[in-house]
Amino acid sequence: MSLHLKTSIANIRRAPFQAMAAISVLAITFFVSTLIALAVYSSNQIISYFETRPQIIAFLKDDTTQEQVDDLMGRLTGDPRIANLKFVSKEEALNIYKEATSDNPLLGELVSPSIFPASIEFSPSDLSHAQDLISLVEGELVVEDIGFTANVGGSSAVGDVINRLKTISYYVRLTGAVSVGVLAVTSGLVLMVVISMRISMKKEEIESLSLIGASPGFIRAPLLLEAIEYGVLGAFLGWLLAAVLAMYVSPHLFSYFGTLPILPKEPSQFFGLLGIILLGEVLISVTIATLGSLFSLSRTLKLK
Amino acid sequence: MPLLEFKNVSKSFGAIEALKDVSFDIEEGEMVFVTGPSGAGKTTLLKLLIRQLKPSSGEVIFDGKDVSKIKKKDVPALRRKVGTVFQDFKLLDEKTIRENCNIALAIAKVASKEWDARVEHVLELVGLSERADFFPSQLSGGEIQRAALARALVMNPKIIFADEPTGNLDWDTAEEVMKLLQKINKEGKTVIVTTHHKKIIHELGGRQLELKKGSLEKGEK
Repeated sequence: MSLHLKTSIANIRRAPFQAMAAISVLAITFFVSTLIALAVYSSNQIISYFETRPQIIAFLKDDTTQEQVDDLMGRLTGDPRIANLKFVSKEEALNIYKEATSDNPLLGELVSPSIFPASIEFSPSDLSHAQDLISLVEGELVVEDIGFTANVGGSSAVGDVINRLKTISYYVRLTGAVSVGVLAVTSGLVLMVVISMRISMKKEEIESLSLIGASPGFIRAPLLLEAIEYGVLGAFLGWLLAAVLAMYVSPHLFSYFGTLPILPKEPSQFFGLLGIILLGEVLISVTIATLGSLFSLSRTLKLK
Repeated sequence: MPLLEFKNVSKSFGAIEALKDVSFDIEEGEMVFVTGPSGAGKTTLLKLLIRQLKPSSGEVIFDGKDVSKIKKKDVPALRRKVGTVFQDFKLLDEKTIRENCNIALAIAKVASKEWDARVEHVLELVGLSERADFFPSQLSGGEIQRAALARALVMNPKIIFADEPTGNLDWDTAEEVMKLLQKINKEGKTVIVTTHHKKIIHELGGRQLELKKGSLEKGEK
């Protein structure tokens, strides 16, 4: 083990209460950060789910020729705002109906393809385009009516639902950023105080090292390492607590939200997400620790 | 060219003149005693040499360089060339003697694989092999002095500056430490010792610089 690492660990062991204070504050910061990261992930997933879900269905008039269908399909295919474009013939519409009523086959037997209109179905690539696309296809002569998938509701509801989700997501992020920011600054300040106390405690030792030729980097290294150790330990503990909590509540969330992909259901993806959050938090904790301790060192460690 | 040269060096602290126009030089391999009563300016000489202080006027030239003109970032390198034995030892209390030496070696950027051999060698030289894993608080005054000397020596400096190494020691221990310094000098190391134990100097012999109220009374070449 390197000399600086040994010294930094010895420093922690020598003043365990300072170490516990620093690690606790950092653990709280990263506990909250992990939960917020999961909430941001969930809100993104929900928005994405709704954004890609709503299919716009343009029901075609009965007398629409195949030529007119091809012409409209051709024009819509070239529109970058449109995704998942699909023509559904009368026969295909009947099949969909039969599948939907498979538990009562009599309902399927009573209808013929002629009562189902052919349609063109598509999703907007981004929901902000939905209203424009609706207006576009509504203006087509061959279009009888416009419909939407059941979970979205009417045309005005499409934007409303998504806008509401985006607003919620925005506030989740804003609240998260402010909370994490405040906690990160607090953590940085606590680290600065702890490192400043350490410098005061080791004033004589620092002077001795300086007088026998230690470079400022040599003197600072164990103090910087000590702050990084607090940061990494705090980040790991905070993450671990939040990860255990997420593992505990996720089955309840899955059953409550049903098909909404609020968190990954596959264990590998779930732990992958937590792993990415941990990695990010360790990097952030190292940054906070480095900045906090360097600021403290530059303020309190004046080497003669 | 002398290893160390003080040229018309003066140092004032406000109205107090700690050193007044002091000039002397020391050749490589010499052993020099700096004597004088307390407050004569002996420690100020050391502080000027390791750039803990800058002279008010004059030049301190060590190893061909004017110490007062070297850049701040080069001060640690200068201090590594001067093996200092401080009056108050400045050993790290929470480290053993071996660890104190290891830290000095790390500061001197010596490869860690060489540490054990070098530490063993200096501890044997100062007679502390059996106390290597003791903490300073577990050693006697003479042993602490020798431990401080071991830490200075392990860095293989160009010069050893021992500031009042006999200050707090009884006669026998003081003589023992002085003889050790003489032994180190005989092995080729330049040694400067500040002391007010004139009797020991008379016994050991060697060049003597005498400071009185900041002025050099005798010993100038």
